[in-house]
Amino acid sequence: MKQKMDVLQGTLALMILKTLDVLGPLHGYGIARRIEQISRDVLSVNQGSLYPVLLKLEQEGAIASEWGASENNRRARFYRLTRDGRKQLQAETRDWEQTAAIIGRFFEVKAEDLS
Amino acid sequence: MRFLRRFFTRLANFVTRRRNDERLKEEIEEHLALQTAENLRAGLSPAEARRQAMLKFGAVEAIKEDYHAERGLLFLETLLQDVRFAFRMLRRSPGFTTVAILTLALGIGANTAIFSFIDAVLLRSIPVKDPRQLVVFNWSAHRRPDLHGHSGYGDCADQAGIGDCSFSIPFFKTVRAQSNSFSGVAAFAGPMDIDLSGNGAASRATDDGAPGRTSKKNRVFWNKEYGTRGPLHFAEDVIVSLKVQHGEEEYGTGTDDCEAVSVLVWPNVRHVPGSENAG
Repeated sequence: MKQKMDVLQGTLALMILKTLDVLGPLHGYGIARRIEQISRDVLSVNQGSLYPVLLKLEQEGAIASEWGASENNRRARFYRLTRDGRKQLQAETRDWEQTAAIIGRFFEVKAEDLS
Repeated sequence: MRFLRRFFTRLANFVTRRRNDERLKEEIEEHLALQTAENLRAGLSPAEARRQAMLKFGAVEAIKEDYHAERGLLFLETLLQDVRFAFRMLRRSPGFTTVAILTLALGIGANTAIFSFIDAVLLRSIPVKDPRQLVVFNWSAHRRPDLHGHSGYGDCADQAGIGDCSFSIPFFKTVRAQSNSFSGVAAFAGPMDIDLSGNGAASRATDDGAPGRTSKKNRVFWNKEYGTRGPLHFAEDVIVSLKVQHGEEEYGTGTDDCEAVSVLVWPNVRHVPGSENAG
């Protein structure tokens, strides 16, 4: 369970980067909504766990944030991808696709293929 | 690189004690407001909409804690807290503090003293290239020889007293001159007084028990003093350099009953005032 959460934390960062890459600057709620829409249940229980990850990414320099006005005209913190973040996203996308491809091939293998 | 940047940011936050709990609070508020609005649009009652939003957000305190841990260096922070707490407790009970400090001080002091001793006696090796290859010359006889002014030294004395590892200086010189088999030959003197008054009958250098200091000056003195064949004093830890000792040829002649000085390191020799030249 714990390990599963760790994996989720890692993928959460990647999802945030990708979301910001596709949609441009967003506030925390917006990011949560997008991720929820696409991943369905990963964040459904614990949307708040997004914020520590956002802070971590910001401290790593992958994203930057500033205050702006939200849809209901309140002050909201908007996050956007930096150049470093874009590079990081590309690298991690590559890694992830590689890993997924390898694991995928393992799942496709049948007993008769190996004999 | 990323890790470093993150680390330095956290360090800076820690040092400047910057906190943006306010920022997180505001973000959470905004998040909940937006989610509540969404829930209202979905047809929930205002109270239920708010409740659902908070459920979905998760445990606010836990998230605040995570956020705070991510912001600065939690480890250092708690460490500092612990240290401050420790000092407060120590100040509150001065008696205990004094005893603890004294115990520590004594313990450290005793340990240092014991280690210095062990280091000097056991660990410091003698200044030769390979101490493990050192051997000591022994002699043995069928019958106990008639010895005058002989001082056996070391652990090599025979039980029956008919052999040990003291040799005369001439013997030593002969071995040294012919030693193709040894990479080097040296001799050393024991802590007892030693006959080495030079030409003529051997006399005993007296020992007043006060250890002298090993220094270059002592060595030079020994060289010079040796020429006059004055009585010499060997302090407890005397050890004489062979080269120095045999720098002068006349020493060996006529002193056949003189004890060998089995020499290893540097001399700790000084003149005994008032002693007369025995030669």
